[in-house]
Amino acid sequence: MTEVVIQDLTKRYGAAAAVDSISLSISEGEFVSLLGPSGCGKSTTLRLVAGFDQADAGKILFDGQDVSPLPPERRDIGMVFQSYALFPHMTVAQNLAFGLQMRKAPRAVIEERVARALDLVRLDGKADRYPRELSGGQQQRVALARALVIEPRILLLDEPLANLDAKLRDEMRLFIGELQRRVGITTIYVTHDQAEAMNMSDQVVVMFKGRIEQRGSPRDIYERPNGLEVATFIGQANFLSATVTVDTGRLMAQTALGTRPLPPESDASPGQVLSVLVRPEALTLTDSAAPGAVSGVVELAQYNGAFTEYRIRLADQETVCVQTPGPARHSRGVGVGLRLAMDPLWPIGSDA
Amino acid sequence: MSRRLLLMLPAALVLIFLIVLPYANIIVISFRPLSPDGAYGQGFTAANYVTVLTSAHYWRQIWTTIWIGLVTTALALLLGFPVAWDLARNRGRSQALRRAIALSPLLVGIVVRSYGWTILLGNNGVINRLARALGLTQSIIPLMYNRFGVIVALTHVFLPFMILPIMGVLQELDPALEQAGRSLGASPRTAFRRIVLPLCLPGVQSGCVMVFILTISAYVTPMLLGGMRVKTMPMTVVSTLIDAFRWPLGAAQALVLSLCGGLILIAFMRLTPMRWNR
Repeated sequence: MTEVVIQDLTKRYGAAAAVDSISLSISEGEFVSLLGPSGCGKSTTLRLVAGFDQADAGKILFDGQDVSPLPPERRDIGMVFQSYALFPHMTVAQNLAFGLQMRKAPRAVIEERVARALDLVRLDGKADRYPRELSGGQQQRVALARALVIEPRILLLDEPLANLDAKLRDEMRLFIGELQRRVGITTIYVTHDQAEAMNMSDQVVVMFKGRIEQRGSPRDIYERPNGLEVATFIGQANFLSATVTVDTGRLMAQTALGTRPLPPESDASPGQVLSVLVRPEALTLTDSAAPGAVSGVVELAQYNGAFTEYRIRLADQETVCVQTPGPARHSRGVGVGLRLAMDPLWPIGSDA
Repeated sequence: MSRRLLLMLPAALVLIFLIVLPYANIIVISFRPLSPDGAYGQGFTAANYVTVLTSAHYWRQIWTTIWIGLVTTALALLLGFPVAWDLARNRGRSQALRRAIALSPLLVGIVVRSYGWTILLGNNGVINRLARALGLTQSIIPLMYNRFGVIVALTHVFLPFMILPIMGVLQELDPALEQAGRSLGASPRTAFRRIVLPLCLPGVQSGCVMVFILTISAYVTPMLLGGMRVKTMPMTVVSTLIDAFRWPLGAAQALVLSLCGGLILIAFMRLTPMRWNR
């Protein structure tokens, strides 16, 4: 198993920096997602780690060894491409054997390891098929098996689920996560899909414009985003304007939906005005007359099966987004009560 | 008549009237006897074929034609593949310009292009004069009126027919395939040999077939650059048909050449897999 360290990595295309001096360390066996919108530099970073592109500055270390000068074939990586890139002129077994042949493994070893890898991705009956004879999900599993059969130091995945339909995508998400834990290989996963990143990763790295905006556990990223951009990119977000007050020595945020404590590590000062993050599922709806609830009017109610999403207009004309489980219980134009079930409130930035 | 057959009718008519019937006619003529008062007489005879097949003179010409065809095809492949690669892979601002330059031989008529080469390669042409002016040689370098000149000009004239199909398959080829090969431990050379080359064989094959066919049937270029000193079969066919006015013999000559070329193509197709699957 391998520890990956990226130091001040920079890649420019013309004047623009696709990757702008990023540093990142990934421990042995960790599953790290690079998450961000298209053009944020996540794929370029992966290509630099793989060796398909040369960095303009910075270093990439595998277990302390600088691999930057090495071509891809000498980095000992396993890579899964968005298009799968299965060799169409080779059978599944030949695709899997390719990497082992390059490593000059004896025939018996190749046969044994190919069989084991096919077993691992549950494709044992398909060894002699050609890629085009397989379904998208099966091709995806062949691509995974081909990357893993060489027992690489690290596994790189470049948007591997982007070409699958929604149902298969959920299935493969579980499959890849499980497989990675079983094999225990250090993994870098590039995606623009926050659900993929949140589900599978130990750590999520959110990238914008060639820089790392935040790195943390999926929960950190969702509950404690370090800025407006991360907060809006991951899930739905309401931002409430809040005034900082003090109550028995604790910093509090006074909002239209009530006063709640700020996290103890907050460095806000009393009297300051800032934005706080309120996720839609942290709000509950009651009857407008319920005691302690803030009143508002339903502007929009969208039923999604598992939950209903409301847009509620408050008395001060601010709107908030609310998610409640189950079908819609309040229709458009009706007055409702809002309750904030969140403690502490996470500050996003000052409202200056 | 079903709708499908009806839709095929226009193309079928064109093919029948412009290709099938003329060919059938040539085959018929090749078996006719010579006639003193017309292009050919009535009746059937194999004499024309006997004349062609038993003549060492014709066999030499057929061999010259095919030899020139094979060498030109090989040269065009050697020169055309890297160009096709560059045009397919290296995008950027100059791509359109590079494409236009590579395909420009198609824009100018074959006669003009061939004359262009005579200006360059002639005994008193640009290259010879330059060589003399620079003092490299005092004698004439024989660049024309030999196989060398014919092959150089033919390669240039037909190069786009090699570039286009290869460029087509290379463009269709997912660059990730090669990268996948590299990620699995293949050097650039191995990735090319094991992945790129097998996958672009269909394009190489059609390019070779086209250039070979065009070359062995070329008339203008070998005539201008060979100056009657390099005798290829199409030149003989034309002079038999027009100068000697012996249609039956000319038809037989043409068909024997076609047959030889066809046999070589069949052998070529057998030796190279048409498709990479199975």
